[in-house]
Amino acid sequence: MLKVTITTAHALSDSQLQKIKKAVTAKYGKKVDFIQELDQQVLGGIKLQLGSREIDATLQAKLMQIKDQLVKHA
Amino acid sequence: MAKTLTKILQDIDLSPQVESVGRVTAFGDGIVFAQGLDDLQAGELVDLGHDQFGLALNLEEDQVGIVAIGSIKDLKAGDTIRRTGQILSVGVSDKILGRVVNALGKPIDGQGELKTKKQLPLERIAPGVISRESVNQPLQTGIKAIDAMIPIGRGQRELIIGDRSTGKTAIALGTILNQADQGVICVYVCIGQKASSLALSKQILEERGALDYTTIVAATASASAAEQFLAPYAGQSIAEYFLAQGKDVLIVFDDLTKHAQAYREISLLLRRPSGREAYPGDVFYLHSRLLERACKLNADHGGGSITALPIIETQANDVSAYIPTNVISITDGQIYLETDLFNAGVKPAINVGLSVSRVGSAAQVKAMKQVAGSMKLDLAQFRELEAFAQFSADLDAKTKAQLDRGIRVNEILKQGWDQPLSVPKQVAVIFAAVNGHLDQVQEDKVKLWEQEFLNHLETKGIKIIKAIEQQAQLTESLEKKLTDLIKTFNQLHQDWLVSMQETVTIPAKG
Repeated sequence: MLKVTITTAHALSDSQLQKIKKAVTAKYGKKVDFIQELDQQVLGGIKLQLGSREIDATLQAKLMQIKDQLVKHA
Repeated sequence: MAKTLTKILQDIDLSPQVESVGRVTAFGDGIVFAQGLDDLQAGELVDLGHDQFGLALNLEEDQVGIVAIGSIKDLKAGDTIRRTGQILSVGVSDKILGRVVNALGKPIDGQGELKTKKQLPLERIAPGVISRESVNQPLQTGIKAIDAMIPIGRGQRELIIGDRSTGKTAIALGTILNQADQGVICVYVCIGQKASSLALSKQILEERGALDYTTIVAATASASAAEQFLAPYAGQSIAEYFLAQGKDVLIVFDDLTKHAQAYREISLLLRRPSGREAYPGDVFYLHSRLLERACKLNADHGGGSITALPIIETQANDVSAYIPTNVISITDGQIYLETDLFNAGVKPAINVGLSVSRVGSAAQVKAMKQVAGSMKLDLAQFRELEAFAQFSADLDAKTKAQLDRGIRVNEILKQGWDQPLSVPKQVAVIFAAVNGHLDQVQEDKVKLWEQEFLNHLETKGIKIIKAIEQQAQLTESLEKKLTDLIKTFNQLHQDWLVSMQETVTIPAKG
């Protein structure tokens, strides 16, 4: 029983959601329970939490990365 | 400038970040329980958000137990926490000398940032057998009783054990004060002490210029149990930084009893099974892995050394309690301090009979070996006769002489904790005592005699002092010169001597 949380800034369309569910189930095989979350703070993109692994492809994460790198090299 | 900025922006990796995360299920008393974090490693740093970190100590099938380092704010159940992939390290550089840092290496003395050169992990494996050599250099404490009869060598672990207020910290601080011209770097780890006591110690070290070669690692009583648990390991890592440079280091753990108690607190909160006295099963390993890192390295590995002086506080002189017996079996000897001696005015309150140094005379200069060799025996014999002291009027002359000699040697061994003596001066004073030159001095004038004699040495005996220092042994001519000096000194102070009677004297030991 794998619990997957999909976090986006705006609601996903049905076709987008189906694509994601298909890809995850194909990779993990076992029964997957999908939970959708809306969070304006991520600004865009998608964050998937599969069990204890988090794949962060949100705009917020990318902006934080840029900020960290700029601070590091300042 | 703009070009660099563009370059930085171009180099940034914007691909999706894959991280291992966990969800906080419980948080309280400085312990965080979380679910997830499947691939967390033991002893790894966990990011608790808002620049706060924890140490992963409990790895179970469906949850992890994390000890929060420092005080934690803004953490609640349901929060996400992340792996960092790093083990806990302390930043070190040569500039750490003279600073007071906390268990994580951050300065807390208000004197600005500490520029670090290297990050050393707190948990390290002790040097193996091949890289070590046997202890052969003395670590001079400046305290006559110790340097003469319980000598400590560089690379040894010598336990200072006793009840509260018997002078344990005083011996450690006195030793640090004596390292001024010995080229030894000092690390003083303070675990669970009062902040006021630490402030006083720091002030004394600073006033005597000892802080220049000392680092203080402080986890005082108000620090979290995690910080008190980590402080000795941080101090040891700092010492190992200097060891790697081939230097000699002295590290003092004050004290390991509170360290064990902090570890017990963490283990009980982590729900680990408890054993004797509610300590966790690995409380021996807690101290053994710490003290094994004190060593003497051979020349191939730099030739440096770390000498450890752990301090243990006993309750009611019970050295057979759990933690004291553990640490006694780990160290290479102990200095046993007794309340009765302390109250009787014998300071340092060292019980010479029960104290031992398993390295012994391999770590003593020849001059000291020559004079102190028989002192332990003299004192043992004196202790046996001490009970008869009250009948001194009825004793035969020889016993009385033995008693008198013992009393004077005992008086000589009393010393102010912050008045370290260099080796040549120690040798001169002990030489006078064991060779009967003090037998004529009145009992209550012995301390005064010693004080004035040391002054006399500074002026009239400076050549002899230098000769002892250079030759590191007492040649026959030196002995004669020293004897003559003492005799002239005694002549100058006739009023301190007992009235001349027919006494049987114990033959002077050469």
